[in-house]
Amino acid sequence: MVYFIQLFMTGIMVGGIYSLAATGFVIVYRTSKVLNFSYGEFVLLGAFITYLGLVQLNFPIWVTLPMVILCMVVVSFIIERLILRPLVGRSTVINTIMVTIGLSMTLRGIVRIIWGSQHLVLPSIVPLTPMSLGVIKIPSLYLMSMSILTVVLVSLGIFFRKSIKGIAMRAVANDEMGAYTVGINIPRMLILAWSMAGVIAGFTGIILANLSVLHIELKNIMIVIFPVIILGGLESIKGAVIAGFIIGLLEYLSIGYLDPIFGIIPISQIVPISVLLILILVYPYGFFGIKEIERL
Amino acid sequence: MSRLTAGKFHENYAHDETFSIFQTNFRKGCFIFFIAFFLSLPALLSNYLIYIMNIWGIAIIAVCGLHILLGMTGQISLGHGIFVGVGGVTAGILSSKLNAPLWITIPSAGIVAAVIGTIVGTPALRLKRFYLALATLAGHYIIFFIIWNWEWACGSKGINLTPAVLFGMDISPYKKYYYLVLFLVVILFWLTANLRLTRVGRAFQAIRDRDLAAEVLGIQLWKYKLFAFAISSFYAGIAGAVLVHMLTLVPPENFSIGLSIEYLAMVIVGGVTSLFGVLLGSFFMTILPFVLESILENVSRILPHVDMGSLVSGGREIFFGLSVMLFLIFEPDGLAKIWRDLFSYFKLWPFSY
Repeated sequence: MVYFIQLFMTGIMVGGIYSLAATGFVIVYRTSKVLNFSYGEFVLLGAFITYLGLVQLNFPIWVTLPMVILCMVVVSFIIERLILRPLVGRSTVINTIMVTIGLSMTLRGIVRIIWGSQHLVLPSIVPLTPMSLGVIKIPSLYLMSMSILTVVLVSLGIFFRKSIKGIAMRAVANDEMGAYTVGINIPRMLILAWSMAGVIAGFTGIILANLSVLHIELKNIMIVIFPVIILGGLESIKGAVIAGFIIGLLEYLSIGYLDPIFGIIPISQIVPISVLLILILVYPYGFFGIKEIERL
Repeated sequence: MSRLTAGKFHENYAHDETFSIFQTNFRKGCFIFFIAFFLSLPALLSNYLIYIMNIWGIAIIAVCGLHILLGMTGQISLGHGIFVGVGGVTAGILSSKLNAPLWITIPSAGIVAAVIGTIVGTPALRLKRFYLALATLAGHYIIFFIIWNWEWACGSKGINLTPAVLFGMDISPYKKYYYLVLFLVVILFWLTANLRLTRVGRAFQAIRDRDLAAEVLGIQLWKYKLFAFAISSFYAGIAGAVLVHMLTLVPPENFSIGLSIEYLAMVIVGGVTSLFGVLLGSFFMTILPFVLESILENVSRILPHVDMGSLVSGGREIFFGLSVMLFLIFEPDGLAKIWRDLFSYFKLWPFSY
């Protein structure tokens, strides 16, 4: 029973990280209708820029964090301006996906050249001793990630409901032509959306790098993000959050209960992918998605 | 159409249909010249360069398959790399456990890959575009997981093979293996070119252009879509078998999602709907990285403190990524369009239209 609760808590915590990552992806998709296959590389960049700040340049943490945010905003701005802007209206969905795939390879190559292919270690930015709630130990990293998730979601909620720019972004997501007619500056909204996604990806990168090692393999977060966004609906932040927790739970429960059955085969690795496959075939809209997918 | 040749007019449909893929004698002559040129290459080039040509040939076979799937039928597949892997693993198992000769392992690898390809392709009957890409991606990961963890079949260590022997001749040196690769490339490429002109090929192209209209016309979508997946996976399986027999080992870590993306990049850079783009795209993505690598190695002599391994692999990734991005932004129809524009410019020179 304790085992189950431990798995449950860990699953929820990791699910929180997945939710955070998926939120950035969904913001980009809602506003610019671009499926950003290079989101994993944004996460990677966030983690490596933090490494640059903390280790290679030896800045303290309260200088590194704003530096990471600034760098991610700049990178997202450059990418949106130079690469995505020429494709607006001119390109099919698959062309845009291939451009983002090409972008992901380019970013990965840049990271590999600058920082090399070995595993690096990011110094932990939270105290290392796990907190214990009774018998269950929770690494304080998970608590930090949950608090970051809460802060991000609350601020996103306030932003989208109360601030003018947030409402403008929702208008663009809803109907671009209508928003343009009303006078909303669409390119600025796109830049804003990509910058927000970049910053969220940066935070996810920092958390993930603290969780495991800092390595190019961090891009593998994409394998988990896809089931999350399909389960939650491609266009819904609420759905992404809920689905993130569900997928995190599923993954950890299967690590705990399915893996011992199968011995040396780590069946839990393909649980999220199989969920993705089944969902796509059976109900691709997800919880809160819009039901307009063309089916044959 | 900017490439019409003068003097060849079709007088009826039968003439149009039965006409060969070479429409003028000049093209037939070019074909014979190029065959002779490629046949003579082993005598002219070094062992390492022939190895590169073998890699290019294998890429042509695999990308022909992906061209049938993506360029002719319009089905996005992110799983093509793993069918190459399935073919390679099949060839490895048949060769190492049953000691089957090459002329059995290569076709069987194709057939097994075709069966698995048909299974992975069944989501195509329900999905389109982005969702089909995700479904084939999921299929890729699942099959990769099976290959990586099934110790009897392959496992993470791979299989070791004996050097290739064909009809009693030892063809394991790269220069001799080159002839097998050349033979397969010519046969399969010729088959693909002929496929375009047959009923099946035209059904594929109808599905790509507007599948609703194709179904209205009476083309059974499910049959032809599954057939497209089967044929393309057959090509991929053969490519995989040829690859593992050349390397005499089956490296399962090669068959990851990166390989699928490489093949997709080759099709796109070459020009999605153009068969000639298969040659151009695979050349661009296979041979140019080797050139880049030799340039970077010269760079390392100037800056000896740079970590060469990550520089080379990083440089390769940047090259792939940038070429895909730049081609898609500036020339979405790929290298084939640039080639065609170049030729038609010279054909019509000095007139501009």
